[in-house]
Amino acid sequence: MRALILVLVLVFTPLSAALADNDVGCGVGTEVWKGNSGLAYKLLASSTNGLTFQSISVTFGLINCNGKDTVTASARTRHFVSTHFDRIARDAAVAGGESLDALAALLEIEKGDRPVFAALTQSHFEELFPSDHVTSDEMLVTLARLLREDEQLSVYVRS
Amino acid sequence: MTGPAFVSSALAVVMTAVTVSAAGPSVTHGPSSGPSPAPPTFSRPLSASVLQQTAHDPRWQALIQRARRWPDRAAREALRTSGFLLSRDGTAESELRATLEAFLAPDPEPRQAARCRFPARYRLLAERGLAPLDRGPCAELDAWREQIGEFGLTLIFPESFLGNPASMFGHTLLRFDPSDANSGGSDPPGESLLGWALDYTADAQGQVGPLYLTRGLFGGYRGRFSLDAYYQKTQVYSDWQDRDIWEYPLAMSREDRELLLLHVWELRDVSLPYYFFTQNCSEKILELLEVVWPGLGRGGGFPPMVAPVDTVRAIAQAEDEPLGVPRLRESPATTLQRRMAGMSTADGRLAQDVTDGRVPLDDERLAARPDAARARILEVAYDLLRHRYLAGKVDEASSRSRSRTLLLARSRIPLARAETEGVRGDRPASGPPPRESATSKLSKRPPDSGHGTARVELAGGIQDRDGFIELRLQPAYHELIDAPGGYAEGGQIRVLDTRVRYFPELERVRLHELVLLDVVTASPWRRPFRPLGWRFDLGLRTRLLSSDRDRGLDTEGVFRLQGGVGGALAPLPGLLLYGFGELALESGAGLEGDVTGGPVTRSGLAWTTPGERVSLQLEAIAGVLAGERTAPWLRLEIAERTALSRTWSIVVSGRYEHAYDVGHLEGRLGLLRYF
Repeated sequence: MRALILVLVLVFTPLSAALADNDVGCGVGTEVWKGNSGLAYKLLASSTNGLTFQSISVTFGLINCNGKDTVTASARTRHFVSTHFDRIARDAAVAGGESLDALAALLEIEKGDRPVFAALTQSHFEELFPSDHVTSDEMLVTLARLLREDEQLSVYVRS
Repeated sequence: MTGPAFVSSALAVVMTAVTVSAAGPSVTHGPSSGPSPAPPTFSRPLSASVLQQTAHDPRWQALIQRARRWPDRAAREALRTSGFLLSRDGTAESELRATLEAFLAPDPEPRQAARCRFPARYRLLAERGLAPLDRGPCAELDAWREQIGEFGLTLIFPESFLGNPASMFGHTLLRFDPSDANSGGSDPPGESLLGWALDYTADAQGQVGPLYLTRGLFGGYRGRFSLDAYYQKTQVYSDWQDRDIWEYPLAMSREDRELLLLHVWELRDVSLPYYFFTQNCSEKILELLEVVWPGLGRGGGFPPMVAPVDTVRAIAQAEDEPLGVPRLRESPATTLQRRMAGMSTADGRLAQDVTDGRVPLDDERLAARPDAARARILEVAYDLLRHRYLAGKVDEASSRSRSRTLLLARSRIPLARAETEGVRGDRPASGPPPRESATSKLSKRPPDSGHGTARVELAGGIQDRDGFIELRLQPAYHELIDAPGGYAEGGQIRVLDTRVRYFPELERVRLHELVLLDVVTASPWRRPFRPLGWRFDLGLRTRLLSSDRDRGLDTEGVFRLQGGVGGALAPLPGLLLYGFGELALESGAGLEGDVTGGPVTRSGLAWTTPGERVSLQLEAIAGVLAGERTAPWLRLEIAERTALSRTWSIVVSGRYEHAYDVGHLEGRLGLLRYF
């Protein structure tokens, strides 16, 4: 058995780039299209069957992330949006997709209204993502306003 | 409509050990501050036979980890110190007695604490009439349970990830779904992302590299269950590691699901020694499911190593066939390949040029395309940019501005995703047919449909002039000549592949070959990716050397280390062409100068018939081995496999090898069984 370890050690030593940073963190207010570059490589030696990484702190952190600003979205919505921000942006641009659908579910938008919701995010893409530094919280604030202004979707916003 | 609140309750399902200290049940799981429950009415003496019966109930044994396949001492100790075992010896009978004692204790506070600490045990014992049906309030547990709500179950299988030794064989997790996550079509609504993923992982304390591996193999780490948002898992496996994920709906009665979830609660503070190959994620998920399906995976005679796909198979073979038709969650890379395969070459090139910035968005070639085609080009361009960025090939600043510009341009085309992507589930029934459908080239078979992960082969043949009988054992995992369905395309992993040959005429037994590890990754080039393949091979092999004897050649065992890089093409379905440039190193007492080495090329093809009944492999190795003298090394090999059934195959092979100035032929016929 000792030989096998030697083998594995030989094979994987070059790949074992250190996983030092915990840049997932609490995540709220994440900028769209930011971060995670090269993570595929950083994570080579971690994650999957091998490691618990960050999940505990993130899950735990949900509570602390529950801010008190004007967005009335729950902590979970905020956490989801910050985690899947780039996917949500893409789904908004193409008016559909799993991440946008999940956001609609978190906002308790009924299935029948979701195509309208998707179309709204597409037609207001520029407002929702006014710059390439927009944060997930800013996007949610805009989204809440757009929903309030929408005839069909305003019922989903508590005034 | 009453206007459901924009605010959904803050769902922080915190089952992590961080929230509570592992001091012991009475501290961490205190009862609620409500009125104490009535003293136990269960004062009637328990009959010995009822106790015996319950203690031998497989569900009870699974609940107290007595049904473990690997009941090692370290695990027992860990179970005891984490407060999971209440009795000293942890046997089924004494644990039952201790549990009942705690559940029916006269003192209300510790009594309720025990009930809240072990709700699954309590449920089972109450069902058996050994405790009152009403468990009483448990503030923390009840809040946690409420957050999960009604749920379904899905078995999650992310495919192999060759970047990490512990992930080479894939992974298994269990997902607690929001109740409607599996309704409606093969492309479920976003709710499935909002499920909770139960994962058993080792806490490697940030260690990496050799130490991580060594400790991982020998149980140096502690594993524990964690429950996280599934969308975090898809981000890791799908977005960051490009792994396709299979999602198998799991049918289970409501009562059983409840028992399982309550058992997860019981395990939240428990950490156990983690072994990469035996007591790993898959083994633990199996053990967990044994609470509901006793004896899961026992019938099939599990090999000692538990590969994640074995978990899937074991569940698929369970009595009431609980495994549903799986859904494939494509990785971004797979989606890109599929979409580009469905595009014209010109559009595909245009998309790549847009990604690179060589073609500006106001270019007339783009403007000339109809809306739907332009939308597709922009989508693929964005996805490709995102993929390159996550792979670290594009810097952040340029990725940011181009990402937004691309999506903004796409958002101005008023077409919904259903009209451009031809997605299976969200395509309106009356809408146009999808322009892009999964091409046969990219269609995949689910992992459980593949061959077994371990094999035994009995073969006979002639080596040089000597006849032999060979016994071969290989505990894992897959070779290029195997039926490829269910395994990574162009991948090969052999672990501890052992061949022992008996030469009747010479009356000699030899260890012919021992492969410690042989990994090949030859994912074919397919637009837009040109993956770099690599291979690594380490083990002992037999070399035939010139002899002073009159008859035949000398056999000599040598240690070999060989590896390199290369690439592969898949010009036709079922056909893989590959080529590698490698360096080889051999060492053995019989070699002149003891050590030789040199550059080697390896090229070959693997072809499988559409039904995967027959496979053919041709391989040529050419190079030099230089030691005290330099000698060419040439090897030509042809092999053919015919499947007799799903578990049996016949393999015929022939080879000519010339090395160390002598050549020899070998022919071999083997009967192979997969397990």
